[in-house]
Amino acid sequence: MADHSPPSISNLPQEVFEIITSNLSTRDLAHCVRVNRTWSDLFLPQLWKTIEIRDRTDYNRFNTHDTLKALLRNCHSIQTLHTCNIKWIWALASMTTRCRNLRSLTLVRDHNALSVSSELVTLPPRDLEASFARQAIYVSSALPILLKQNRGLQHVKIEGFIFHPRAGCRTLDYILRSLPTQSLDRLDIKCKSFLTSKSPADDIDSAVFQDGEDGDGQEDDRPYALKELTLSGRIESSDALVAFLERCPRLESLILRSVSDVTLDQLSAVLRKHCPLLSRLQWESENCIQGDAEIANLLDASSSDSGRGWKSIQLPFMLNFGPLSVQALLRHASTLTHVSANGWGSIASSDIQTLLCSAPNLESLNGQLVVHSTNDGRVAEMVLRAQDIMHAHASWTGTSSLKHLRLMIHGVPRPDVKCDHKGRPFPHPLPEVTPSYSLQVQERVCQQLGAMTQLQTLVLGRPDINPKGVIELAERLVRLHPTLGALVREHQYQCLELSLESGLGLMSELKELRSLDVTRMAHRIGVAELEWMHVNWPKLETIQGLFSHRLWEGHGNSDWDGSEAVQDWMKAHPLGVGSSFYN
Amino acid sequence: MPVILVSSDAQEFKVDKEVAERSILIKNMLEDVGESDSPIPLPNVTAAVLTKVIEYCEHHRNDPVQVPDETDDPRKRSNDIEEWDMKFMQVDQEMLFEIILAANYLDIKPLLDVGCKTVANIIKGKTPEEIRKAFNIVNDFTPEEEAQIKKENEWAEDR
Repeated sequence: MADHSPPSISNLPQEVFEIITSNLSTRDLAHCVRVNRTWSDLFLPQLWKTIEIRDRTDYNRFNTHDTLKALLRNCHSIQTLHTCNIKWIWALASMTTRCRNLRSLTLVRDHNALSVSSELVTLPPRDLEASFARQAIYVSSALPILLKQNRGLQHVKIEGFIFHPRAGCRTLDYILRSLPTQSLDRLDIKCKSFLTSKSPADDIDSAVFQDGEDGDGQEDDRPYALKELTLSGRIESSDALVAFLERCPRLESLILRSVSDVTLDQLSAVLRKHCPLLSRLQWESENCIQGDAEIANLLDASSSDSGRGWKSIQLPFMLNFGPLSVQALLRHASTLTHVSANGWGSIASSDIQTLLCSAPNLESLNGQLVVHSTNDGRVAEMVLRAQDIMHAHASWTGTSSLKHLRLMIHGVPRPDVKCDHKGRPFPHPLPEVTPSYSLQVQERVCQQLGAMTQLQTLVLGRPDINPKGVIELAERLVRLHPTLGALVREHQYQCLELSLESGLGLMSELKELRSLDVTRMAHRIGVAELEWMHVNWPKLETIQGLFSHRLWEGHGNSDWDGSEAVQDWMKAHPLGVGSSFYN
Repeated sequence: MPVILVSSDAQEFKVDKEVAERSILIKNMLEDVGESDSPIPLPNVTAAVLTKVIEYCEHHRNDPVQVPDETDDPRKRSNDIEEWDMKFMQVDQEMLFEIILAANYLDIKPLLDVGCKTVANIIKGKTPEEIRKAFNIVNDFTPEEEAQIKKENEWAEDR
């Protein structure tokens, strides 16, 4: 130190000081502020750096005269603002000279804190609606100002309460036009379903938005910095959004939550043309009603030409995932590293096989199984059938990069399975097969799996999604739709045995395997298999779903003789199954 | 091959290259200079502090390179200091801050983090009065000022 004063909190370099404060809670910071004048000056900016008003309790806590005064005095320190408090947006927008350091802005609707505030619930519905409109317009006018004065914003999330019918798409237009495009890399917009592009009250709007209309005056044609875009709700065709995306050549990620068909078509076209770096799609939806052609269209939004294309695709449960979507997906096989599907309508087992043979960079394939009850009783899931594996000549060596695999492999002939998991005989007997054919099929599957030398997680079992268990749910479905019977049985009983007799030994090269899931499978992993895994899979830590009563063998005994031996073996190896724990 | 470090008070320290290279500053210097046995002057670090820093680097000579975990929320991070480091940091406050400054200058991220966490742990959970005591600070607020500042920042109290 040049001044030779001993080092203390008050003369540390700023970046070091901030490492200390990043370890303190808001409460601790509030106490530091009260220590003395020096500490007050030091810690106030840290205390006000992150402001989060998430619920009614937060809202009440902040909604005092003294706090609002302090807010205005400290607003230059705020970098992260998460709020459902409309007043604040307005107040901060009015501090044009001081509130300029925001990095992250989240404006969400909180039903408790805001819309149903006590003075509003007493109003008759018509007045309540009018009050919402007033609030919406209030924010709609302040938000563009706040956005314009914070040119360093990197992350903006706006939820739809400001998109009131009286403001409509125009609000979205003004917000898009006010965004700090050179710094912004994440944008998250959620619209409510009532949003319409033709607002009945255009005359009111133009008056309100006059301030947003005039712009900065300087036309800037530099490309925008945006890397990640999240769209939720129903954004009806928005020319402003299209015009905005046309200038986002760096866009990499697209996250969609329930968007309308109109938006999808428009999006797909603009993205394909203007966003060459787009490589990550995360599509979440409760009820994806898009048709095969629309899905395929969106999958084509990332250009698969010249080595570009999707790297990561996460799709929701989609009944209509059909041939066109499959083709679109397979066009991207060479770039894909992560594929996650929450149940696909009719992706054929052979298409999954093709994907496994043709995706050299695939690291993770997550075919989660979901049994959805639909009106016509269809079930969507991602299943690889053993017959397809048998008949395919290509090997899966293309997937030697695969680290995580979650896939149902079914249709394995299992003459040894006589009953269901509770020991009750099947209503319809399973097809007759010879034991030797069964072993032949299983060896072929094990051989293919055995080539995935980087594999860390292998989930072959069926997940227990709801507390009652998927099986019970599925059984109810079967009662409603008897045709499902065969399908449900297969899930559970026509699976790999994973025994040494049936080809487990062919999987000895899975040296990276850490976790194996055989939940609800009619497997035959016994002490000999555990010993084999212990020696051959040195990194294996856990086996999910190992214990099985094997009532499906049909002997009627409540317990399989070997289960005790398996329990003893597990007790003797408390640290895991793999051998590395004992070296 | 050992490396010779020279403290601000001209004391020489001979340490293994592997130990000295825990400091990114020294590592980069050695890379720039190449094979050379000329001593490295550290004009910002006294012998007393350098002794402590070297002790830390010796103990952690085989640690893997730290991977920053971005998902970790700093506000919720616990005071997860390992036992040896905790004992190592039991020094008077002046030395504690000297070590932090040295770690910052020498670019030894894990030591900087441990030092900063140690300071944070002194503050954590204390009332303003207890903090004053811990850092030997005189309260120069008038009672009215203190009441006002408490009121304005009350929102942060029950977080």
